[in-house]
Amino acid sequence: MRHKAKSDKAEVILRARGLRKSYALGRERVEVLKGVNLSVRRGEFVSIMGASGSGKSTLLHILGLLDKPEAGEVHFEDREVFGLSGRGQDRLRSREIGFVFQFYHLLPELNVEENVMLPMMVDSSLWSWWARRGQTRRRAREVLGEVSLSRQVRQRPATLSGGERQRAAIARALVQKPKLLLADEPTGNLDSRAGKAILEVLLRLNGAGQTIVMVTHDRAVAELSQRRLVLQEGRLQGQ
Amino acid sequence: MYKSLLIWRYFLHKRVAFIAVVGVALLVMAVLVVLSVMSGLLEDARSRNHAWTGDVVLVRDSLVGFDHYEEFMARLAQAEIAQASTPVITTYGLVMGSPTQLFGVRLGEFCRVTDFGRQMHLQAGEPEPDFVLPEYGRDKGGLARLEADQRRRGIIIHVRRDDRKHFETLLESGRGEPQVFWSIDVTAFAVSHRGLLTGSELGETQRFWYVDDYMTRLLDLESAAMVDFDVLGALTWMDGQDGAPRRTNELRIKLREGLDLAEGRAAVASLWAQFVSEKEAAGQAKLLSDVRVESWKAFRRSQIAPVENEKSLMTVVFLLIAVVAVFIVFAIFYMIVTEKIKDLGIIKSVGGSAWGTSQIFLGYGALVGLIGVVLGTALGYAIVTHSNDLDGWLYAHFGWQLWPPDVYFGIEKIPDQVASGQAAVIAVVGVLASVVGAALPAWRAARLQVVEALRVE
Repeated sequence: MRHKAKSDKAEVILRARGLRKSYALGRERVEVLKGVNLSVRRGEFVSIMGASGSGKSTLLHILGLLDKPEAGEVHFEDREVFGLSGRGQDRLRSREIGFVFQFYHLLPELNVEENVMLPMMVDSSLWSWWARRGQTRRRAREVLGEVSLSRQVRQRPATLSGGERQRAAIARALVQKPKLLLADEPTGNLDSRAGKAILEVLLRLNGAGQTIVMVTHDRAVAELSQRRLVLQEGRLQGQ
Repeated sequence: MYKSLLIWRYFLHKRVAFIAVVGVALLVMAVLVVLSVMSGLLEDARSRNHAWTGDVVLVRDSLVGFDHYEEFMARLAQAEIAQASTPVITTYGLVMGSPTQLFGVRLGEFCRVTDFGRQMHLQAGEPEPDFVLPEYGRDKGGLARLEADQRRRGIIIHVRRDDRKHFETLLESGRGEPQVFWSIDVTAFAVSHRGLLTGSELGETQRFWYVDDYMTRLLDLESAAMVDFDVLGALTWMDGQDGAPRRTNELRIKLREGLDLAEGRAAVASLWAQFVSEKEAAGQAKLLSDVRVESWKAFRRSQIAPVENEKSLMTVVFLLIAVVAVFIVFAIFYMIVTEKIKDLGIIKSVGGSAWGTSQIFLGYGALVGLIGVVLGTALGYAIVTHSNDLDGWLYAHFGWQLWPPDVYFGIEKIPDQVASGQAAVIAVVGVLASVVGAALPAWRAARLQVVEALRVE
């Protein structure tokens, strides 16, 4: 199942320079990122490994605009993302970056279809939503079909298995056709069979040109990606 | 779009929000009931006092009264400020041995200036009521006859509701039967234009006969009686028998149609000031300078103010209760936001804005408020419109009266109308209170960092 290497002539879609982040631990501050640099090309599948607590998820959250670095820059295509307005960053998260969490993070009061449509709902006014609701629903069902969840559209997350929930979360991350998919330990909470199914989905997506950055602590999972990086002592190794 | 969907789903799934709905409903219901009834009581108190007084009153706080009133009445008519005016003598005396406030009025004129005509019993609605008695009737000795001067000495007394039946038995008037002459002795005191007791040292006592009774539902008039203006004027020497000009204590005025009360009072005051200046120039203003010109509201302030004050107090009390309701809604929404922190993080992670996430809780607060207001208004409306039935039921089963008649004198029934304007204000305040209660949790939700929110277990 190992992925073939792609051409390194593709443009850089994501570039991070000098990222620093620390957390308070009692009275002390612990620096988890000490000047991280990263470049990701369009169509790449990059995995970032590291020990527990090494700052992998922190790095991914910063790349996905879910957290802010204390120093450094992130450029998405040609935009410095932390220089954008709040509204600009919201749009980026909604339309151009998809995020898959280890614990799925689906809204329990919405069914699978509604959870998948959430990025589109958030990105529309009431009137534009009303005008395009048919189109939006079709897109949601299309992407649910890609992750083999067509029969579960009306179910609530609580009634799904772990693997099904993670596939629904992947569908939500893909519904707006993002340019970049970030996955934080996507198989971390699943059994091996379900995990394997998820990895197959990711590989299939990457095969179709989706750029993916995945965080994992599992070497075997990381082996499936084109490029493997290790976050050690606050810096990325193996560029 | 997602906001409306989440607001509705949260409302259906979060049972604790129903507590907030009930809280808002009870608050709205209580405020609506109390304000409707108090507004009704206040309106009734104002109406009764206005009915007794007329629109504007010239009054001198002295048993001596003031003179030249007839000349001023003519000026009023010329100036086209008043539709009608009438003098009233007010004094104190004894009626059947009881201390009583006595009013001397020209009854027909008095009924044109005030609504007293509708408050009488036998002559209610008659175009020209009077104090005149028939020549023949019956008394204890059988058939009786009144002399000409006696026939003018009719007296109208206040009757309590529970005494009505006694009078009806006593009178047996109509149906061709001779009227029963019920004599009532009245003692009054003559006061000269210099303010001295004059005439007999023991006061003047005359015999009057019952001609009618009245019910104004005004506490201060419960012990009062009315006789003819000229008859009382003679009894109290206000009729100029001492050589001084004729006097009166009050001049009641009904303003012409279309004239605003404040404007009308000001016009009367201006005309009076001019009149007094002329009399001063002629050296005839000794009794005129401290005459006050008041609207009926100011004249009866002491009777209306307690009800106004009680309504204000009730409003303040319920505003405080509204603040408590805001805190209840705040506590519930704080709990809900704490539970939903992770949801907010998820929404923000897919592009939801800070303002968008706070709108979810503001909208949730508004929905809770709206449903609470609708329920509370419906309950409040039902209670107000059936308040008298409810009062009767409570009294019959528990001996409770919500508004006891001995405390709220003159109430014939509990007001049962909901003022739609007030209900609308209460509804808006109810929804706003709920939104304000949700505002701080909503603000907190907006400030959350995505990663912090997602870390919450």
